[in-house]
Amino acid sequence: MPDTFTEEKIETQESVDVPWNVVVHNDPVNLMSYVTMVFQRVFGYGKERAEKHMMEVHELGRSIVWTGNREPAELYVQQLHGYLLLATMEKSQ
Amino acid sequence: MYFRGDKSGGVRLSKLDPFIKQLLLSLPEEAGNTGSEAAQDRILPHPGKDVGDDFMDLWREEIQPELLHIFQSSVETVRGDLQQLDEGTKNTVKIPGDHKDAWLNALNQARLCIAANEEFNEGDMADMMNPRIDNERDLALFKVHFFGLLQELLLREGQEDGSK
Repeated sequence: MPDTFTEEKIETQESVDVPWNVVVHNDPVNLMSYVTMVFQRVFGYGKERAEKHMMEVHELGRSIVWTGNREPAELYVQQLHGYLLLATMEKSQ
Repeated sequence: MYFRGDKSGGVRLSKLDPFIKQLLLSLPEEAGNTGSEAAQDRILPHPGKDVGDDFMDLWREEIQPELLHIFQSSVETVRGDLQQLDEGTKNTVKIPGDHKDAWLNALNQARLCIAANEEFNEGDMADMMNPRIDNERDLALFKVHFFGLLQELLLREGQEDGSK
């Protein structure tokens, strides 16, 4: 039953490669312009995309700024902490 | 206080009155004031609840010391630049272009530490540039806003550099 075999393989692969979100949380101190600059520098986002995430942080309290494999997510969180942003990583739902 | 970019990509803060000069001179101390639990938690926040114990051990043993080194290095760069003010009559500070990131970091660090230590909330932070300074807490809030203004000016200067 080749169809069944294929399905099982996909499920296993998904459990290994569960994506991780890098989330930035709002704080009342960091300047909006500073947060935008950090997103541009860390992720290489253009100004418009960086500002969109910054406004999400400001208005909604958090923004998922990147999603992908765990290892780069760890590095991004480290970099964001280096800029003193409140950043966490979490498994994508 | 005058804030002006120079041709080499640096910035010059000039005509500093005694009060502003004292605020600037307090910057390294404020940025390094990470002793309280609140300041520690803000400067070195948790990387996330799903990360696992092994990763947290690695984070505490390797990443956090590296981050602290970056923060302390920025503060020392700023402290060095502020030595220009040590000769009592000097009221100008030149920030070289390659020191601007260290200033941005130290200013941010100082603002976050003050806000954490004083437990400033959204309402306090919205009270922009309150001219009344009646006590230590008012002065602390003024510093947070003044350091924020400097950050904003440095960021704008950086954008202008980039657009040239």
